[in-house]
Amino acid sequence: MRPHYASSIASIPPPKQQQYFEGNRKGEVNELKILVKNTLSEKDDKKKREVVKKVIAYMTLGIDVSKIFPEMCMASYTNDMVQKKMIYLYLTTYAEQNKDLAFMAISTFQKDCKHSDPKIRGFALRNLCSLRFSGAIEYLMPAIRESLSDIDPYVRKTAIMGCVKVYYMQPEFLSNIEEQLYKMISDNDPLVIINAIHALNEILAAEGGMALSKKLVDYLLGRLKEFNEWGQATILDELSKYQPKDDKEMFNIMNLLEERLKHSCSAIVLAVIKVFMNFTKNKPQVYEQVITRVKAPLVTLASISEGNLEIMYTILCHIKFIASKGYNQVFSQDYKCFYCRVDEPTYIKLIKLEILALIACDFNLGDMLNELGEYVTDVDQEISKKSIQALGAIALRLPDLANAIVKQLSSFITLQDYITNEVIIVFKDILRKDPKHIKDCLEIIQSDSVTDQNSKIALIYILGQFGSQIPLAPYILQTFIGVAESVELKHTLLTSCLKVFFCRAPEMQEILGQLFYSIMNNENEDIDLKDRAAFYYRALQNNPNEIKKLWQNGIKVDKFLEEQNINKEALLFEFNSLSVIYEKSVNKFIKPAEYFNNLRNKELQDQIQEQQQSTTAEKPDPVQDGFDIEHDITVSNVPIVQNQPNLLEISEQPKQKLIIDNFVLDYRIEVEYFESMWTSLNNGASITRTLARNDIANENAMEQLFNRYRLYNIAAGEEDNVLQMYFYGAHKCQVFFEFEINRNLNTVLLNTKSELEDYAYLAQKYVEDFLKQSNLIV
Amino acid sequence: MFSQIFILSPRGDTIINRDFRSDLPKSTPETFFRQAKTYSGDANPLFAVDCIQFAHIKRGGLYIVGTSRFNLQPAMSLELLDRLAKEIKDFCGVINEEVLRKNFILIYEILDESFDFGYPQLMATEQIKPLIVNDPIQPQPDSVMNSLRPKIQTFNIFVPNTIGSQAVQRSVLNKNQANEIFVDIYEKLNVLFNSSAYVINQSIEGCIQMTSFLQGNPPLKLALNEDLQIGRQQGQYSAGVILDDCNFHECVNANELDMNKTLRIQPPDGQFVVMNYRISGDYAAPFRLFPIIEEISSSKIEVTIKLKACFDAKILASYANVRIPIPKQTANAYPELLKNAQQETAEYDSNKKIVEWQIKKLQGGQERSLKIKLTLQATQTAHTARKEIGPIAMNFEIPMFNVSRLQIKYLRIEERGNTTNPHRWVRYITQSSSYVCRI
Repeated sequence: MRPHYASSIASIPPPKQQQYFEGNRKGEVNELKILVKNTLSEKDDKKKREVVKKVIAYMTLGIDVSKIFPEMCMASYTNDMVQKKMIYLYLTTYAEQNKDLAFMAISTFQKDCKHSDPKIRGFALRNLCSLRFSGAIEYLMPAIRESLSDIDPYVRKTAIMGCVKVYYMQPEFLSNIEEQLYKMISDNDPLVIINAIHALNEILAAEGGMALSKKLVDYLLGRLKEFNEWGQATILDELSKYQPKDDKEMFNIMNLLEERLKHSCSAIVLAVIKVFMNFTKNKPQVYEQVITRVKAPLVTLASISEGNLEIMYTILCHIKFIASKGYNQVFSQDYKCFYCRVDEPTYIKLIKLEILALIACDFNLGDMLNELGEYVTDVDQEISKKSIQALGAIALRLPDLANAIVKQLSSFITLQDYITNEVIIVFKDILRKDPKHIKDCLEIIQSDSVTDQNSKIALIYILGQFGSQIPLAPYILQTFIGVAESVELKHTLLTSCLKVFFCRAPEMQEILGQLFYSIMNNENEDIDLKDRAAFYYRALQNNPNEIKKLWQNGIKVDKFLEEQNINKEALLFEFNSLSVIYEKSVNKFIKPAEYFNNLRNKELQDQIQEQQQSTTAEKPDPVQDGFDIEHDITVSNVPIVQNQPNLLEISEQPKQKLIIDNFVLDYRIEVEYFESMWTSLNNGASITRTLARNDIANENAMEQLFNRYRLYNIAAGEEDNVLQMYFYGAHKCQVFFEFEINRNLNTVLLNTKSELEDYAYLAQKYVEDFLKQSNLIV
Repeated sequence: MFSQIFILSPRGDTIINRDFRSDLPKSTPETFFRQAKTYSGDANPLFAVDCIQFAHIKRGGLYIVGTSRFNLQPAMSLELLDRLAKEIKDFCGVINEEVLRKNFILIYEILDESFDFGYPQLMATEQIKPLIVNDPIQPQPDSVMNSLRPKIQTFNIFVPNTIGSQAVQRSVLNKNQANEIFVDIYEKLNVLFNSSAYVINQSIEGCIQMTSFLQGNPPLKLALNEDLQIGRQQGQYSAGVILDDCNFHECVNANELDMNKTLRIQPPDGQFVVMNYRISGDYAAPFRLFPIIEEISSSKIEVTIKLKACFDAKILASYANVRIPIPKQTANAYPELLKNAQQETAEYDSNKKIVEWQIKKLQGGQERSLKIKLTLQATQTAHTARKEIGPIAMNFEIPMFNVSRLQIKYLRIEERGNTTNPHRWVRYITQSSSYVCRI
């Protein structure tokens, strides 16, 4: 498997290489823009479709085609649904980056929302609600409110999802929507109901989701079969949060749901099991009956997969979870269902081995040992190791049967190095629990094919613990002295050598001396290890018998700490959730939305920076390229502008005005970066105005003011009544400001720089406007 | 629910990329692919990277991936992706890279109707059909053949690359659709022999699969064997067909199954599995393998394998392939067929150290045999090397044959007033799932 792995890693292109293509792609995007523009007047829908399709293809590849936004807006005035669907997909994807232009598109959406065909109404509404920018809200809410009571369920269910979308943009617009959503749970259409449940759960997440009354539960259960598989799974998941008032109600619900266990959709079966488990969790006897009842459906789903190995894996994880909660006996009869098959993927085999280790018991152990023995020689090393671990786990769990397992494991030593390595580690655990097996392990311990770091540590531990019974122990230990090994290994070696010294002093004395010498005289040695060695050395010099006593009064371990911890944590795992799959508590793999918002913002910043770097890199060298840029465009009108990707943008954008939404929220850069940019950029725009208001002309107030407009302070200082501050922000590109209030002269000075000069002017204007609004200047 | 759904090619190229909630980074396809490649085999279907949850299935070599920031219901998320894959198959006919690339706009349409803000919406093929405006683009005919029937020796367990299945590899959007329905009883056999040809473990995984192109989705009634029994009592013997357990598709009403062995079905469009069943009882294995290993000298081994087809002479297996792993230290291997061998090949792959023996068309009752002469490298002796031979795995397909004897007595289309009688095609197919002989 290894070489295959290496080659697949190699097939992932390194990110740098991709950047190389960026430049060419930008040229292509400009070409495409012109192509779309030219096709606008085209009559033939087929040709138009092809062009639009090309845009979507680029979008899918992850190429930023947001520049074509105005043309695509124009193209959206079409009656051809094929084009319309593609164009709407485009518009919703890029609206966030083209907020001011997106308004152009809204009217088309609005018109379609009133179309006579409910399919088109629903479709337009779905896309309108997906325009992700705050300005769209005021157009959105009326459309949603109207559509919530549309006669067609397709429109209604879309409107409900629209509410959730609004909730994530500006929740304050959704006042009192909950009441209406609760009402919609009694809608005729199942999908409307399910969407209403989803919406309530998201909007009321802080309060624990939708409130479940007995009446609502009865109602939903009564209509359960009207819902599709996912609807049923959703309702059942809701139901698992419900607590029946009494036993009668509980049994009624469970009897009603029992036949759902025969469903071939695993989502439903697992959801039903979760309901059963949650209902009966305080009634151990009923709970056990539940487990016995759900066994057959689970085993069926785990062995018949209809080609869906992924589902099979999920079911196996849940079986393992149930078995590890102390119900392993339930599955013991079916052990053959968990035998590995030749062509199953490794992930299935591994989980099966874990299940086998859990359900082994006296009546199936004979067969199982043979079977696991076969896996030890599997070509896949991972499987081989796991089967050895499984054998070890069985030996630990069933001490009465450990003898047979130890003997079988010993028979593997002649095979491969990696097998010996794993066997040694397993032996260490078995011996820790039950030292009497040492006589069966002697042979393997004295073989010399232990190569792996952890196996060596395990071996050293065993040698120390059983030094008196292993004739060669001192001499094997000696081979590890002075060899470059991990600190962990040396710690174990020190302990083990001491242990053997106490029982075989004459043989060990010299070896121990060597060890002390090699540790204490090594300048680069780990300080803790040195300390420990020095401590023992002095203690032995002082009073060896005291130390010996200390060692020999060791405590016998009868419970493994790691086992207890895992069990305790596992009790809290929620059934039918990812916790069961990862075997982790939910707080270890779920983070709140804000965490991802930060990730996205950072991604956006990187993208902007990357774009800038590529633009600086691609800017034509003025010495080599003597042409006037303006001239170049107007005269020859070359459509392909391979090396000057931003020219079109520059020639079009400056007439616009920047608004706050253009700027990236919470944009952050480093001081060093700011400095280098500020010094490297040419002078941009500069204005001087008269200071009109003195009360807010201080550092704090100015920082707050700029912050409100999404410009951020990076440095500030005041000297001789002159306040100097530096700000920055980012929209299409970064802008940097030097801002100075001179109270002596009563002036305000603003210098603005940007990679693209036009943007410097626009940004300058933007700042001037809000300074005027706040009456700082006139 | 899902935040994004994307489909990647086996090399990690994005073919489809749909962001529903915009609440996760845009680089997730890259993150996914990088993580998936850290597994030595196939990646776990569910994993998390930096608290982003990834659920994926692999179909036709493609990764179909859903991402989320929530604690998903694992089975539901994978079932949803599987359902999506089936929808794509229903509309495009097949799932492979070429077809998906050609039909990506159609797939965006399907995705848009199937999910809104990441929540499942309309997911039944017949519900979506009226909302779809794009037509499927069929790939070049010869390339379909290539992609549908890869070389038969690929040892994929669950690929129904089966005879005649091209008939159903077409789009439900096909306008000139014949009014017909295909019913397949698939049985996948799992048999494990030890070296003395004694069966250690055996089971059958079966399903009744339908592919419906019926106009108007009329209700159906499907009758099975009268001696059918579901649920096995310990040590019970019965002449009838006993299923250990079974489960049913959403559209099936199984209330009458115990009484008169019939299922009532409200068929959706396209492909679906009416019923899955498993049988753990003993049955006569259709093929038997007899391996003999002889140590000729300290560096030479001779392996002889006899294969016997133990079924009725009227039945013809469409192929039977045997794969024999041989020692890593093999210097060379010469597979020898019998002199009168027909439609048989045997090849030694020196990289994988595997001998592949392929038999096209094998009639019931016939016997074949293969001899492999191995020469070992000097570093290993025949005595230790022989342990590395095997296990021998078999791969076969037998049409019009099933081991369980589960039968379809009749399939009635319960629609009055329709004059045209739709075609009903019933097939039985037995395939190997895991058919292994240890040495």
